[in-house]
Amino acid sequence: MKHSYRQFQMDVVALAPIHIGSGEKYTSREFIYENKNYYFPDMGKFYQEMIRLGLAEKYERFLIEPKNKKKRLNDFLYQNGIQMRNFGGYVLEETGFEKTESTRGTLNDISKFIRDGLGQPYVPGSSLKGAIRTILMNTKWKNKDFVDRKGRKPKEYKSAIPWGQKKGQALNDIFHDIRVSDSQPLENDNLTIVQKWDYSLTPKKDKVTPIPLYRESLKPFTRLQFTITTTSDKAYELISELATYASQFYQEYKSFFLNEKSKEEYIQDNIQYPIYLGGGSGVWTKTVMRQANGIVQKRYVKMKTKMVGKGVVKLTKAPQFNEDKRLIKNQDSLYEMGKSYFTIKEIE
Amino acid sequence: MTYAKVKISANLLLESGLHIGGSSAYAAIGAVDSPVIKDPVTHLPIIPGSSLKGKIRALLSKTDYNHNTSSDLGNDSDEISRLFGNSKNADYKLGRLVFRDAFLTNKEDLDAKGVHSYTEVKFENTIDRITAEANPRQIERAIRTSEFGFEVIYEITDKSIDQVSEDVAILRDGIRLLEMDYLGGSGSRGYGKVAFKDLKAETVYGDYDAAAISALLGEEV
Repeated sequence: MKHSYRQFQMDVVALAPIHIGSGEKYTSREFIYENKNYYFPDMGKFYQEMIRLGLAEKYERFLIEPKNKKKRLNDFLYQNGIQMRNFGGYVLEETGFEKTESTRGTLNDISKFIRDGLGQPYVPGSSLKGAIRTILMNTKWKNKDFVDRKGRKPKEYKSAIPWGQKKGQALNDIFHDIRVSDSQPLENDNLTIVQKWDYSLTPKKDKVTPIPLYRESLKPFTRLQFTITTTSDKAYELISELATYASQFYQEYKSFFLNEKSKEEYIQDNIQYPIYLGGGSGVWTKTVMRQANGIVQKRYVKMKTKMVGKGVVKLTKAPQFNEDKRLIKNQDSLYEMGKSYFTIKEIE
Repeated sequence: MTYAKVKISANLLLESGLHIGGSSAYAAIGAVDSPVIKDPVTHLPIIPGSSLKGKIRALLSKTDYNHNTSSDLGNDSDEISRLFGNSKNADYKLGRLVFRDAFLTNKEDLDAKGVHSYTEVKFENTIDRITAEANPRQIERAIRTSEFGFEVIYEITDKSIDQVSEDVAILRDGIRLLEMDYLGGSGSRGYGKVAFKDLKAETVYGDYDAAAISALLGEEV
């Protein structure tokens, strides 16, 4: 039996919090803050318990009544003297960076991390593959024109890299020949809650601002394992050289954006090969930056939050999870959201 | 006269979520826009025999067992045709293999693990690399660690009796290839990684010792 499948082991390690959203959020009525912990009960179980205690109607009223608008799940439990906590779910320890001392625990929405059917967090192959594709489009194919100017507004010309079947032609779809697996399942211990911080550097301004946006994220040092299978020689070549492309991409990103918009102390050093994963890492890590420059900004012209120049640097605050290794160069616990490194090797 | 039916079975384990698309004729706004195919009686996800047969054949047709470089399946080699059938070849109108739909077998185990549903909804999105606009979508997947009862019936006749070990070796290679590839949709981004556990053969009709087939199936490539 002969085949051209070749496999790589790719390990990605978080250097900063990474958030891969599931598209859903916890509202202030879906978690309990106590003893420096955030407890996310299984709301199905919680409701069943309320039924058992004869509190179902009261709970429903609590949710609906306008005067309760600002109330949280904590308040409901307190008002009804509910001591029990056996509602399933899980607990995340607070980091202390969520709010000020007096307003601790009063977060509104928390974006959920993606989980599989067994409830375990994981990083989908689709997320890593998208990041790899962005790297390749900014390096390997940077001379291709990816802008489609035909419509009312410019957008990405998706056929610049051929994909999908074309009638009467052999299948030519390089990204079908690159198969990225999902990561191994992770534990709740790998998660923490981080807030979004924007750093803006303009002639008039030089400050970091907290944004009321909270995300369940992977802790720095979390190791993710992926398998990449390539099924053609061309795909094999691309993945073999991924490390070089990633370094090139980073150089490009640094000179295009980081050096210009960020203070040196907010830029984290690389370990091995850099890659940005997941939400909150900023538009320039998601686009073909040189070609998107100018077009991205136009989207925000009519909105309240205008994008000035190349926008703000997306940071986040998290504690040092490892005493021995410092990942950041500032004293304010600010990390570059989504920053990570990878190693890759072929497996026999 | 030899006439026997050998049942080749295995536990098909999902190592990542699996999406074999069903009909999306009706999808409410905001609901899953690409559902998976399900058993209409139990509403549990299934793996249709056609998906297994098609994928295994397609994978094998790229190997040395085949020499057909045209898009016409009618030109497939005898080795492939005799197993999977070939409507253009009088000798192999019907293949020797019958693939069964695979049903979920470990519902109780999944229940014990505390799953809420046997399918998950995965939110994904397309980011336009020029405007950075996101275009979200929702895809349903049969959950990881689900197990399905894989079953193939292999027919042995006078004509095929000398080719049994070759046939079984081809099928086994097809299964190994499938483990390296993916089953169902969106496999290039992690979906559909499957593993076959406890591959074994037993004679279900006629007089044939299936031990040799079992041994061959268990053999590592």
